[in-house]
Amino acid sequence: MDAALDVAIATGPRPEPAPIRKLLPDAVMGMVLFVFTEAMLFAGLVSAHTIVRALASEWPPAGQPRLPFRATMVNTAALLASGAILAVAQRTYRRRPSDAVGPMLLSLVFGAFFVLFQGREWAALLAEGLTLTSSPYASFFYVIVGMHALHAVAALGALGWAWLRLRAGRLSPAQLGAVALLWYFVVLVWPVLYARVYL
Amino acid sequence: MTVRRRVATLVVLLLVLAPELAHACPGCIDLKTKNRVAFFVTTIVLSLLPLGMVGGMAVWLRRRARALGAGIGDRGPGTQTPDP
Repeated sequence: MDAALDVAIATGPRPEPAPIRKLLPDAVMGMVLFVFTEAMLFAGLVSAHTIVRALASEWPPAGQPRLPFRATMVNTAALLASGAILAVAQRTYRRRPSDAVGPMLLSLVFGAFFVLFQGREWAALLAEGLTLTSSPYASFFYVIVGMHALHAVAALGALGWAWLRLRAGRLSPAQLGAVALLWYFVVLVWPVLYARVYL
Repeated sequence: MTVRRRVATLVVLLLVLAPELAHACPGCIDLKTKNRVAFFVTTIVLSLLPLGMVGGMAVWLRRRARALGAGIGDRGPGTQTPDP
């Protein structure tokens, strides 16, 4: 009798598992973890810069070109505007995805302006004699700002990919969320780097 | 005096007399206030930033779970299913 009951239990319909409502899409969660590690990378670089700057008797060192902090302020505003426009695009996407194509393109244009302007600034500084090996001041500038530029280029690529998918009507909310998170990180970490390196 | 006691005495003497000031801490070898502050601040930032990020994320997820009525904590780990 007991054996028959066991068989009936074993072969009977299995209870449906309770549906799991995810708090965050996997793509966004993965990007959150990536952003955490990148935040620590920049924190380490800024810490090293802070200590070397404190140990130096003169900062910036004499005879070294000064960083163009006023011109970069304009560039910073462009990057912040790019982030704000992307937030608008995300909001628009929730209402009607096709309407987000324009704002997202505008965000891309502002971001590309930032990267191109930074490249132009680097070229000018190199021409003035500020190279990677000319002083710790220059080394930190190129390593920290270069690392940020690398992230900005990668995030711009991701943003461009997302824009193409959006235009084709194939961009999922999770994909947009993950790409936007990376871009917000690039946007928000810049004012900290600007304040530490340029000012 | 037994061998064990002699060894113990030697170890204690070495521990008490041999060590010298170890310049392992960069904050201790440079007494300029500016440097000490820089080391102190960066140590605090690098220690608290990861804790703040992970803690902030945990708090945010908990609030979101409550807002969605998902009640992750109430259902227990047995009800979780892996991602497809």
